[in-house]
Amino acid sequence: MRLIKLLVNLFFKNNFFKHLRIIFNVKPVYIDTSFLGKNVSVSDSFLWRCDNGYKTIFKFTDLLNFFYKIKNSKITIIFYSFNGELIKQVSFQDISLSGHLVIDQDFIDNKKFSYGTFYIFHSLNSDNEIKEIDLIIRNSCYIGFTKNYFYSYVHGNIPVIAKNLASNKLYKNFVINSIISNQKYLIQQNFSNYDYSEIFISNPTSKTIKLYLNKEKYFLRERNSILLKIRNQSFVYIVSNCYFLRPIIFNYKNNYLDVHHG
Amino acid sequence: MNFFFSLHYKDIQSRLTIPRFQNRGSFNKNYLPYCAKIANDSWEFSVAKYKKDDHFFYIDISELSNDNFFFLADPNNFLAPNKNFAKELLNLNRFTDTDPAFRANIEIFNSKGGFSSYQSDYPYEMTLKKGSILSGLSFLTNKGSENIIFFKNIYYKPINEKFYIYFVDIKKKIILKKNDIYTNRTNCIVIDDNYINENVYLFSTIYIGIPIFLSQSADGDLSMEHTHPPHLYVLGKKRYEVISKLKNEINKIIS
Repeated sequence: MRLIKLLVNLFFKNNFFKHLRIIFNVKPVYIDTSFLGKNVSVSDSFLWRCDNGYKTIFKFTDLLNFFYKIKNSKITIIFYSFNGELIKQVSFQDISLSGHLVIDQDFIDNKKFSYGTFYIFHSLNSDNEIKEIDLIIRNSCYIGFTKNYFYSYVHGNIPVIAKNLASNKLYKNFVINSIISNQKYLIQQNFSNYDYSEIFISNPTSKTIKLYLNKEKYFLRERNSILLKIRNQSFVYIVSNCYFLRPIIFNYKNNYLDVHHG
Repeated sequence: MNFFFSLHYKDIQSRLTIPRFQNRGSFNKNYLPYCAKIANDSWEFSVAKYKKDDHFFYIDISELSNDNFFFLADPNNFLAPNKNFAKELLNLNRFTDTDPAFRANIEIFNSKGGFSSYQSDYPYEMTLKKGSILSGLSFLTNKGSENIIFFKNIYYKPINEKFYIYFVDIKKKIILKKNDIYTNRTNCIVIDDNYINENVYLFSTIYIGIPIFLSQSADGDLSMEHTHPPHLYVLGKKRYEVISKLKNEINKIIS
């Protein structure tokens, strides 16, 4: 019985076996959160941009209040530039059920930063009772983008980082990297009818990723992101050493724009 | 297996593009796109009208409606004699079971030139389930613009059964509005601008579905996206217990 348990653990939790499961397509796991501890706040990687007149809105929920009725917890949002530089962090407390934040050039307050990623963490105050709690929450809320007054929305993308609710312990690398750059991601959309499109890719891991977008090579270090323009292409694919590199797409036609997951 | 659908409301029309490849690289050139709709209390299946190239099927716009949906199947083992009518939907193949989810692209557009794309997938497993859906109204809407919920349900039995969707103020614990909606349909529900605030939630009973939020500005801009179900936000072992407790609270408000 012990041996069976050991083998099952090996098969499901060991990194080498995770790679084998993906290679041989036996219950493959591309995003692994099994090593998360208790009482953890998981964040997706969210895009912000204020280049070319863009504004971004982030709409979020106080998940601890909404699901667990825990009042007065704290929400912290941390902003990074496309090259991984920490820009700023903001905190909210006592926000009732949900809140929103507009991210524009005034908010970023530094013209050398035009786009990047941000992460959201919930944390408990010392007043909050935690002994009965055994929870993992994932904030995968919603971002909208506009150049006028009307926002085009998209939901959160990939869980990438987590923080303990009561301490600063971090968890990373839910998305698994492959040893060689042989992972294909074919975007299932025809882009030939748009004036042009932009493909936004962020590194969901703490390791450097090598990727090719239609054979052009790029490197993304930890927390780096990239916005790539394409035009008149019916078929777009990404090859990388990352098992889950799902982009966000911006399409443009006449004076209209649209954003969605790739 | 996934089903793919379209959305229609007033002058807003859809284009549906179904890939012939999986997002991790496998192609299957044998599959054809089929249309499913209810006729005489049965599912009626037929090969959809389409154009194709090496990568995509482009479903003919005349085929698309709020009352039908599409799927990929191999003609060599589907639509054999007597199989073009059925009493239940079947899980025919795994070609569209991918991670990330298979994306058939539905692009809506209006007469002004605005457009928005959405991943039109409805997993087969969802067609077998009953339950309830809880979704906030303020996240994907543009206050002051026209906001619509497309509530898409596909149920495995060929029935158009009425069920209800409620707009509930969870702080005041009151029902603001109740709408009749139907299974196996893309239901369109207009959102009153006054309901767009953090306390108002949509809640379906009996059947589940996908709540897709469409927003349209006076200038023709469009936005379309779905909200996440509550279980995506809670990952711990007690996730279903926590969500069930929350839904029970909403059930008390509507009962």
